[in-house]
Amino acid sequence: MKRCPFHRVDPSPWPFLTSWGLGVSAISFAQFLHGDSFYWVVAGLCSTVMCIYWWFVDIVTEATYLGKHTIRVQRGIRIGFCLFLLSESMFFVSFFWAFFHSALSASHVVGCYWPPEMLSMHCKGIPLANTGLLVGTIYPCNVAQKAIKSAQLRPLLLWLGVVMVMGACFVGLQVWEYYTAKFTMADGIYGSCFFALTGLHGLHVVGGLIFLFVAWNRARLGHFSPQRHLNLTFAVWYWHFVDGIWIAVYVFVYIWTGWGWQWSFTEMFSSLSALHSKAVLVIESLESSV
Amino acid sequence: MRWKRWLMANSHKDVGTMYFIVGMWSGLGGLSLSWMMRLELSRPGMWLPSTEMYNWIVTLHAIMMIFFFVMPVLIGGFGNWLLPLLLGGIDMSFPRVNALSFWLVPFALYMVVVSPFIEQGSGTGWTMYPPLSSTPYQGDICTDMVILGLHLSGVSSTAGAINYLVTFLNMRGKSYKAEFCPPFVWALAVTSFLLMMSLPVLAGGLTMLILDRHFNCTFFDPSGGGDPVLFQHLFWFFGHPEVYVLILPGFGLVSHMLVFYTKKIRVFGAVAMMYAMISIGILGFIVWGHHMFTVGLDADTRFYFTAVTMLIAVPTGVKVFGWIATIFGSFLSFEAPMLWVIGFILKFTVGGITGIILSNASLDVALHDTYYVVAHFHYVLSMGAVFTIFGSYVHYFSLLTGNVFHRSWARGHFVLTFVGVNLTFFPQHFLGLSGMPRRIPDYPVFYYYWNQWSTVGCAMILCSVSLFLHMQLEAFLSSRRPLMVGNRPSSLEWVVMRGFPCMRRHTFVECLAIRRMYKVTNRRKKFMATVDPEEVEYASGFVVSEAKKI
Repeated sequence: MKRCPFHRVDPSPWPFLTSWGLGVSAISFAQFLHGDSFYWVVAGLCSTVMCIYWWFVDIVTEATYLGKHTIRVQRGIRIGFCLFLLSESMFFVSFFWAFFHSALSASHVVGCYWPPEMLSMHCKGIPLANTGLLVGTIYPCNVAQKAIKSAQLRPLLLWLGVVMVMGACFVGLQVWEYYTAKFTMADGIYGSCFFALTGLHGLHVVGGLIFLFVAWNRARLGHFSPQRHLNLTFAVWYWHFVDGIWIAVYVFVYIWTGWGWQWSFTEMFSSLSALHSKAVLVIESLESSV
Repeated sequence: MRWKRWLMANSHKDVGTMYFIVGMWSGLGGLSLSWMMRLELSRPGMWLPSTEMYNWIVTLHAIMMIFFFVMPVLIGGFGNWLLPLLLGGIDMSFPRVNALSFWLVPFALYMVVVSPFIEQGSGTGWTMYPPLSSTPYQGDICTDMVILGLHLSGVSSTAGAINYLVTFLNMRGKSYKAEFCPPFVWALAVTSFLLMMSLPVLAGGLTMLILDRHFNCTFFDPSGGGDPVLFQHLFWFFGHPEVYVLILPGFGLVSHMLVFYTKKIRVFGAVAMMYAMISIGILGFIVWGHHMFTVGLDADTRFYFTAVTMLIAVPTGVKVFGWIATIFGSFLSFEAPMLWVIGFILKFTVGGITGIILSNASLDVALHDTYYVVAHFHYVLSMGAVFTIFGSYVHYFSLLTGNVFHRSWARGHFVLTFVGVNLTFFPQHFLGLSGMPRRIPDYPVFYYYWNQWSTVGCAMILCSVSLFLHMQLEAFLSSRRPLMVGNRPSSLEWVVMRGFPCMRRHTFVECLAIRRMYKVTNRRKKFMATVDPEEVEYASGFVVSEAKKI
C-alpha cells in the first residue's frame, strides 16, 4: 500500500487517439471550408467522441469500481472543473465583447442604431419562455441534488429527467426561434452577433444535456453514493453555468437591445429635460395661481 | 513494448521529453525561416521569388517560435519536468490530460507548417489582422489551416494550463505552503492563469474570423457594420498576456539558476519576487491597447494605456534588482548557465528600456511598425526567453538526460550566441529609428549598411546553433555522468540526483512530507543573530572590522 493520496494512472492510448481525432477534424474542416465533403469532418468528430467515450469508461472504472478517486483526487478534479468553467466564461466574454463593441457605438452602416431597424428580436414570447425554462431548472436541480444526498434514487431520476426535458424544450424553442427569425447570420453585424452568441450558448446547452444524460444513466446504474457523485455535481454546475450565461444573453441581447434606440441615453436625457421644463411650467403656473 | 512508453505516456517526465523534442524541432524550423528573412534583407532588392513568400515566412517564423518553440519548451518541457519535482508530487494532477495537451501540439504544428506547401501560404502575420486575413486578400486554404492549427494549439495550452494550476493547488503536501513554493512554481502558476484566462478570448476571435471568412458574418467587415479594430482588441487581449506567458517561466528558471550558482538558499526577496510576478500577471491583462496606439484610439485611452504600461516597469524592476542583489556578495562560478543568466539580465534590461520608450503613445506613433519594435521584442524574447531556455537546458541537462555538457563548449556556445544575437538585433534599433518599416521584403540602399551587420550576426547565430547541436551529440556520445550536485538549493528538483534520475519514470512514488520551511529560516535567523557581520571573512579575505581599523 502506497502512502500517497494521489492516483497514478496506467498507460492510456486515449489521449493520443483523441488528438488524432481532433487533428483530423480540424484539417478536414479546413478542407470542407474550401469545398470538400463534410464527410471527413463527421468521421473525425465521431472518432474523437468514441475515444473520449472510452476514456471516460476508464475514468468511471477507476473511480467507481477501483476506488482510485480519493478525497484529494476529488478535490483536484473539483478545482479543475471550476477552472474549466472560468476559461469557458472567458470564451463567452469574447463574444459579448464583439456584441458591445458593435452595440455601444453602432456603425453608420447600420444607421447608427442598435439594433439596426427591422432587425430586432422581441424580448417577450419565445425568449421569455426560454428564460423561464432555464431559470426554472434551478429548483429541480436542487431537488435532485438533495435526493442523491439522502440516497433516494427515484426522485433523483425523476427530477433530473424534468431538468433534461426542460432543457430539450429550450433547445427546441431556440431552433423554432431561429427558424422563424426575420434575419440571418449574414445580415450584418447584428445578425452575426445575435446568432454567434445564442448559437454558442445553444451548443453549450446541448453539451450540458449530454452531461446530464450521462449523470442520469450512471445514477440509474447505481454508480452514485450520497457521498460520491462528482459526475452529477459537475453536470449540475455546468447546467447552472449555462443558465447564468443565458441570463446574461437575455438581459443584454434581448431586453437591453429590445429597448431600442428610442430608449438610448440621449433620448432618456432629452425626455428628462423635457419633463423638467414641464415641471417648471407647472410650478410657475401654480405659483401664479397662488 | 517500447513504443507504449511514448504513445501511451502517463509520466510527466516522458511527456516533458516529448515536448522538448517537438519544441526544439520547431525552434530549428523557426530559425531557418529567420535565416531566409535575413538573406532576403541582406541586400536591397528581391532574393525570394515573391513578396507573398516573404510574408508567409514572417508569419510562420513568429507562429513557430511563439507557439511551437518557446511555449512547448518552457511551459511544456521544463514545466512538466520540474513542477511535480518541485512540489514533491508523484506526477501532474491529470496525467492523461497532460498527454493530450502534448499530442495536440504535433497536429497543430503540422497544420501550420504544411500550409505554405498547399497554396500561396498565409501572409497574414501572426496577428492575423482583418481585412488582410479576410477572404478577398487571403482567400486560400492556408490561412484557414493556420487559424485552425492555432485553435488546436489553444485547446492544448488551455488544457495544459488548467492541469498546471490544479497541480500547483492540489499536489502539495499540507505543510508545503504556497508562499514557500520555489520561483518556478509560482512562475508557472501565474503563466497558467494567464493562459487559461486569455486563450479562450483568442479562440473566440479566431472563431469570428472563420465565421467572417466562410459564413458571411461581418464581425470585422465595415460593409456590414462590423469593425476590424474589434479583432485587434480581441487579439491583443490575448496577445499581451501571451508575451508574459513567454517570459514568466523564464523568470522562474533564472531565479533557480541564480540560486544554484550563487550558492544561496533562496533568491533575494523571494516573496517580493513572487508578488512581482503576480502583479506582472495582473497588469498584463489591462495594457493590451499599447499594441494599437495607431489605430485611432482617442487620446484619453492612449494616455491610460501609456500610464499602465509604464507601471509594468515597476514589478519588472523588482525582479531585475532582486536578481542583481542575489548575485551581490556571492562567490560566483562562471559556469555556462551563469553566463546565460548574466546575459539574460543585461539584455532583458535593454529590451525593457526600449519597451519603456515604446510604451509612450506619442513616441510609439513614430516608432510603430518600424524595426525599432522588432529590435525591442527580439531583445526581450530572443535574448530573454531564449537565453533562459538555453541556460536552463544546459543547467538541467544532467537532470533531464543524466549527462553533462562539455564545459568549455557550453561557454563558447554562449559567447558565440551572445555576440551573434546582439550583432543581429542591436543595429535594428538604428534601422527603426531611421524609419525602416517591418514586414517589408525590400528597402532603399540607405538602410544597407546596418542590415549587413544584422545578416552577419544572424550567420553567427546559425553557427552557434549548430555548435549547440554538436554539443548535445558530444554530451550523449561521451556520456559524462554527474557525480554529485555541487549545491543543493532550497528547492527540490535535485533530490532526484541520487542514482540515475532520467531512467526512472516517476521520481516520487509516495508523497513527500515536507517539514515546515519557516523552521529552516528561523534556524537560519538564530544562526545569523550570533554572527557579527563585521567579523565575517569574505572569500577575498576582506573583513569589515579590519577595513574600518585601517
